[in-house]
Amino acid sequence: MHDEAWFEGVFRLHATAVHRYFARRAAADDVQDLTADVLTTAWRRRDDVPDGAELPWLYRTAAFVLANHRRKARPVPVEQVPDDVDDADPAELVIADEEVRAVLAALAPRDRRILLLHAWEGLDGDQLAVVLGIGRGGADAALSRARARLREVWSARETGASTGSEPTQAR
Amino acid sequence: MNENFPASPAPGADDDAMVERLRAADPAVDAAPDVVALRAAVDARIAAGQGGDQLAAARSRRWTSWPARVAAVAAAALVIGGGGGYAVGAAHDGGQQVAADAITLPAAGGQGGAVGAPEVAAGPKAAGGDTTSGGGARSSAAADSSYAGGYWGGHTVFTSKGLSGDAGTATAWAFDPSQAFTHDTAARLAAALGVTGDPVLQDGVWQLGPNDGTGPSLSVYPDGMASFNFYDPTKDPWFCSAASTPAPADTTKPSTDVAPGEPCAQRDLGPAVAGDAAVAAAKDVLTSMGVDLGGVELTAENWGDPTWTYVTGYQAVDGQRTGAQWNVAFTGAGMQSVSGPLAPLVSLGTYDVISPTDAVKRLTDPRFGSGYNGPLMYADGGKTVVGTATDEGVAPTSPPVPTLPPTVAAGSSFSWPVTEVTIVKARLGLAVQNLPSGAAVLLPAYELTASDDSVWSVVAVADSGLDFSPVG
Repeated sequence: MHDEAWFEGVFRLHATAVHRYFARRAAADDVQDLTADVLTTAWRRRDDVPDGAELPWLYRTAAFVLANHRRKARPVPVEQVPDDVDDADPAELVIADEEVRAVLAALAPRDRRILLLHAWEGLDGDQLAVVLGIGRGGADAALSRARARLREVWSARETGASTGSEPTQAR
Repeated sequence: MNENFPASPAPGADDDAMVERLRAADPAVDAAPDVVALRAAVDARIAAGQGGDQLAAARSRRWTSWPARVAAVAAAALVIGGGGGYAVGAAHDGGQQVAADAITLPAAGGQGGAVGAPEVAAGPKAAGGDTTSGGGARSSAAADSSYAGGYWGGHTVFTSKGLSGDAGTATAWAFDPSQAFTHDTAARLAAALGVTGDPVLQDGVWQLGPNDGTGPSLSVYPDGMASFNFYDPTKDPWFCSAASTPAPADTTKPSTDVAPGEPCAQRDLGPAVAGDAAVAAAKDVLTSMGVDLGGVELTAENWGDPTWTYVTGYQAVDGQRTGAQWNVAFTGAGMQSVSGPLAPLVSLGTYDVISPTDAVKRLTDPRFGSGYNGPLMYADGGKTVVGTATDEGVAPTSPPVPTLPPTVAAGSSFSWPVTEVTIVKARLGLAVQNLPSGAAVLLPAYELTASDDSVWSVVAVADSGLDFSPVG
């Protein structure tokens, strides 16, 4: 039963994970507000939150909350709003490792997103599938492909560095 | 912290090394939220109507303390009296409530069921206080912490003024899930709700219907109240085209790795039934399910969103809300979900209860405290939610300026904050308590209101009626 006790449990178990999700992707000032938005949504939509997949559901919701937040923060014409949720835009990510940032920038948004959900949120398999809203097989394939692209980009970067050329940012 | 990770991998290096490198760049591996402030922010949103319904009610107790909420809500209350007749109310300001509020007790021994204590599994709040949270994040509500003495410690002294010293007796109740957690009950409810098939006991839960969101499903849970849940995704405006929750009308297209776009979106199902009609519809649903509506108070709320109406049925006994409730949600497509406790209430007889004066003493008795800092304050008059509810949308743009704690001067006295709370009013009511066995009971409990309008709670059953044996 998704009642108050259930919500207390969700909050207790997952508030930190959702907080970290935003700490990785949003300005420090916004992290708490965004986290609260997601948890509030979890309560409001509690009947929809799948048992056993609460955290992936929260991540999925977080991606939409983040997208909406950015949409509000930046005056973007409606026709330019991307269809896909990009919660791993290197321009927004909180990354100190410039090399990692450059590599991520060279990846397609979807690959980037999947890689960071995997590396940072620790998702794969069924959980990744829930967050992406696709089937398990699709999620496995997507992660596999993203890893392959990461390998390609990193290899290219290494090759470029060894020949002394500056890496180019693909944005 | 990167020393354990490989440097830039050579061309063709193992994928895992690169993923590890990404992982090492995780900027938030040790980040932890300010739990109290976060919880306050969530509560403020819920109370402001962004989040719903009875959680806000349970946490804030006072309808009249939420001007923003009252203003935003168009609701009708309709109370089913003991005789089965309707006592119709139109407003929503609390004037229609017949039974007194349920009381929320601090969770005992880590048991769930009590509302309010913000605890998290990971990470105590990092030292550094305000610098760890965003500038605008620390709401004023956070300062009015849920814990006695405030989040930063300190201690609270409780005194009483003008309270009775007379002990008394009160009835306790138990929920009996054994009568409800059965195949026959699940089958009967399925028939009432039009779900076809035979319930199966799966993962300890009586279930019927697909659990992948492709159609209506119901569950009866093996908890102390034999909680029931029915959910019909086909009547949910929130529509997911993805495989995880395909729409009923979706094609049988296999879920391949296609960019999902916005996989979930709202669809227009039209306005939901509202007001008295919603209450009547909920009553029909619950009656068809065989729910005993004697003493149940039904209210319909429409949180500024005409596409959803939430009807809450508050269970009450002897004029006291029990804290158990039925929830029925309607969309433009009809009844979308219903949940509530199936277990009937069984009287446990009369118990001795302590006097209001002694109840206040219990607030500082370590046997009755909770959390890490004492008893739980579950409402603080009007202060909790007002003023923090409308911050959304005002995005702070500048990063917080780090501030160092002040250096303590030599010879200064050390802050040892003590809060003095004077309890001036006591109300004997009922509170749901989940026992360590998992059984759910309704215990006589005091709601204690202080001169500053903060509200505290403590169990009222005399020591003679409590078993203090440690668990396990």
